[in-house]
Amino acid sequence: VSVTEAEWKEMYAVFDPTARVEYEDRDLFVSRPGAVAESIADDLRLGLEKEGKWVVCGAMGSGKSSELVELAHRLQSTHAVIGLDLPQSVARIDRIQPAEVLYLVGLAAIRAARELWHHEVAELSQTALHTAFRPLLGANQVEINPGEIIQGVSLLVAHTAGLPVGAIAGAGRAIAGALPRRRKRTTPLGGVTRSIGDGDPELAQLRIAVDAILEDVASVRAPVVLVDGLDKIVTQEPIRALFSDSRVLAEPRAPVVYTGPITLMLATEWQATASLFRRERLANVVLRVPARDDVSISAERIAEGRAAMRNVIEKRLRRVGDRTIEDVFEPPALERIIDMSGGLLRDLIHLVNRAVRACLRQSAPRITLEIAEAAITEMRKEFEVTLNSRRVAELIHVANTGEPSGNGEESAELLLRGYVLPYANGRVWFEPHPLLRTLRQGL
Amino acid sequence: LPLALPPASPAVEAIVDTLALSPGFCLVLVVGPTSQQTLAEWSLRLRLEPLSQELLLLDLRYAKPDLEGVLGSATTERPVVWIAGLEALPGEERAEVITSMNLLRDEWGRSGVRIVLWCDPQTLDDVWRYAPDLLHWRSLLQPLEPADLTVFDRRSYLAWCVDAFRESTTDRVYAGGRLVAEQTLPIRLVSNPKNQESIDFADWILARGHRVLLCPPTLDPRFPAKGSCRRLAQQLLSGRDELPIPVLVNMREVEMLLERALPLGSTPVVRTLWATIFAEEHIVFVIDDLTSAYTEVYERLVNAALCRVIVVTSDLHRIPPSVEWAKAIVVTIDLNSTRVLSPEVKDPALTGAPGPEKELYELLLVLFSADELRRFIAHHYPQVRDSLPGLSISQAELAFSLTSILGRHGLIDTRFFELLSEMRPRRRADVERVAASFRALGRFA
Repeated sequence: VSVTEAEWKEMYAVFDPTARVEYEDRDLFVSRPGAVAESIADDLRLGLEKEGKWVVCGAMGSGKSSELVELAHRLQSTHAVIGLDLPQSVARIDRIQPAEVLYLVGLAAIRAARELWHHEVAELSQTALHTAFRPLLGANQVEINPGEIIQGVSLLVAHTAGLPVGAIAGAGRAIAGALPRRRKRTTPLGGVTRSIGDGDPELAQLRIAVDAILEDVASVRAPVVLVDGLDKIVTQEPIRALFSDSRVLAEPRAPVVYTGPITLMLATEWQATASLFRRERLANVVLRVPARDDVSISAERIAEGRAAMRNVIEKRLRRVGDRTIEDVFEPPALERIIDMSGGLLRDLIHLVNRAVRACLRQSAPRITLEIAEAAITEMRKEFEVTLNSRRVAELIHVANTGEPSGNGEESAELLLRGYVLPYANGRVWFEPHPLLRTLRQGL
Repeated sequence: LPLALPPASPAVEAIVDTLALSPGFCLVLVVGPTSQQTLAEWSLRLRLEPLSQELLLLDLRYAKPDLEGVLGSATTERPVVWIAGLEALPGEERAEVITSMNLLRDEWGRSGVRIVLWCDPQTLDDVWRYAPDLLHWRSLLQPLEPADLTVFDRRSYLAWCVDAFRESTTDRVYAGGRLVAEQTLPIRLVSNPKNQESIDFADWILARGHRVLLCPPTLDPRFPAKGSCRRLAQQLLSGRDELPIPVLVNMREVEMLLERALPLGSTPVVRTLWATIFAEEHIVFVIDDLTSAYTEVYERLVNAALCRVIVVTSDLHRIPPSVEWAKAIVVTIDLNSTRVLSPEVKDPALTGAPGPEKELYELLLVLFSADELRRFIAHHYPQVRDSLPGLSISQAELAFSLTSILGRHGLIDTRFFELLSEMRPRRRADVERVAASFRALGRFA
């Protein structure tokens, strides 16, 4: 039976590229080759990394946050999962300092213990946290009101504890859909600390205070901290300040998993960080044999990757009257869309979304190759409108060498913005997004 | 002009579909011709109207980036907010606003708001740089070309006129803080026997946003100010049942209102005014008795109330150029016909489109790059060089503007086409074809 207009509309919503995958959307999660949630969860469950520190880095839209949500789910029965949604907790994520992250970890632990496990962290430890943080504030001191600031902290995946929606006032993703128009009150943090060296004695006090809180939480279950949002930082200086120039993020005495920016996939950026963190690279799904001699990929691996991408679509279609891929796509159309996604999940969703819109407009019964091509052209134009000669030169360099040049702003920018995509097979290599291939010679 | 909506271009169609189909948060970035921002906004508004979709304007040239404030004025559940004016902000402020938007993305995502962010190419580059997250979570990034926008009814015609006004007056009206030029608003009265295409005063005022400074030459000097304002207020109401009744107040009343502490003994009239002004979208004429110029009291009124404020002041010369109110500099109003007059501008309503202008526009696009076009004009037509738009616009916009400018100055003639042929001898046949189109319609100057 042909897809009806109502089903196309439903499908358009299901393939909405602007919608986050929330905890309640776990049915959409697809474990794919190179996924990280399973491996980190295994390490923790086996007790191999009792104070391990991970950075999950990957392209924008590659599914880092979804992996964190999945990890939380896998650990919820064995660990006290303290999820910190940084962008929802601070006024300026782009200015966040290491000491602020540490302070927020302490705050999140207090809040999670109180509201998820009904355990009150010792008052002495709570006071010590605030007392240790105040001397670290900069000249324009913000007001640290313990009662208020803790309400500004957003917990990630509050549902891990099985709490009903709204059980945690202000908790980030738990209240999706019920949010008022007014921006939720966050903490005033984000660039409010003074200049602090790792050896600063007042910073040491903060470390001690945070560790004491995590130890207290351990009386419930072994704590594990998930910090989402540091991948939102898109300029190099603050990225280095957090991950390379300071050891602070690696020091809490509990396992911590951070999402980090894609630039940490570059060997040059990772060098200074490698001793502190384990890097989990969430590379894009490999969908074709690379055009490089020094990389070999088995046919099985490619088939596995393509199957994962099909699975992403299948799972979403199930929400639309249990529709199947065969109901909706002509086979070549689906394969073409998968090809052009570059293995980047959000771009796959973007392309299907546009193809569905075209079907609605044309009252088409299925997504044909022609409709898929129209969606691809639409997306390609969007890339094209932001290209300039310097960016094109950098893209050609990537196409020729398999890695960013590292020269100039363009190099990191194209990586951070998904124009250059990372792939991994033991080693990492980079390619321009497939949508860019036909735009200029040399791509 | 046709009354029915003509078919939308695929680009406009994509925007409308994306907004209409969106189940939740939706962000559409529109990269368009800077000189036709208002027309683009209205093109979308007029296509959303039949779908019962409300479009609200947040113009950062005149308002703070307060999305919540704009949403507060919505009359429907899920309005679309058109955010314009980013390109007009100074560099650092623009970067800050864009960065803030990027930080708000998650918040917007949960609120289900639908946003159209208007960008010129430079602003898009800033969004690319400062808000990659926002860009990546977009619903659509749609380039708009001048050919995607059509003038097809009175309101889109008005929008076109507003763009023409902005383009032709931005740098010319004020120079060195002084009002210069001929003080004529280049909006044309289209005279024809049926008198159908005219723009009336109310449309013009309403397209100006919430802050308008009106100076006396807009009024008939034979009438006292209050009487003239009353008449204009009546014109605003004429045929517009949906608009609230305009309110006329003087400076003393405004100050009393702003005090927010009306004594019990104050007159019922003032109390009524207070209640009225705080109703949304009321139109308030503030008459300052033609003795003073702009004061910050007006800003306070706009900020305090939800009304549109039209200040009738005596001397625009004394208003600092930095005051970002729409200034009705010298609009000649025919009080009997309530038409906005201007002798200058050729407009698409009269010339019709597509026509030879469109052919010329397309020819220029093929023959020259943006840089080459600028050099061509600088060398052969230095008298209009300063009329060209700034460097940040696209080649298409430049070609479009140039077509319009050359037409306005009567420079599309035999010599012009000869020059084109000399510059591009291998495209002579194309040049002659376009020249023939102009000649056939008697459009050579």
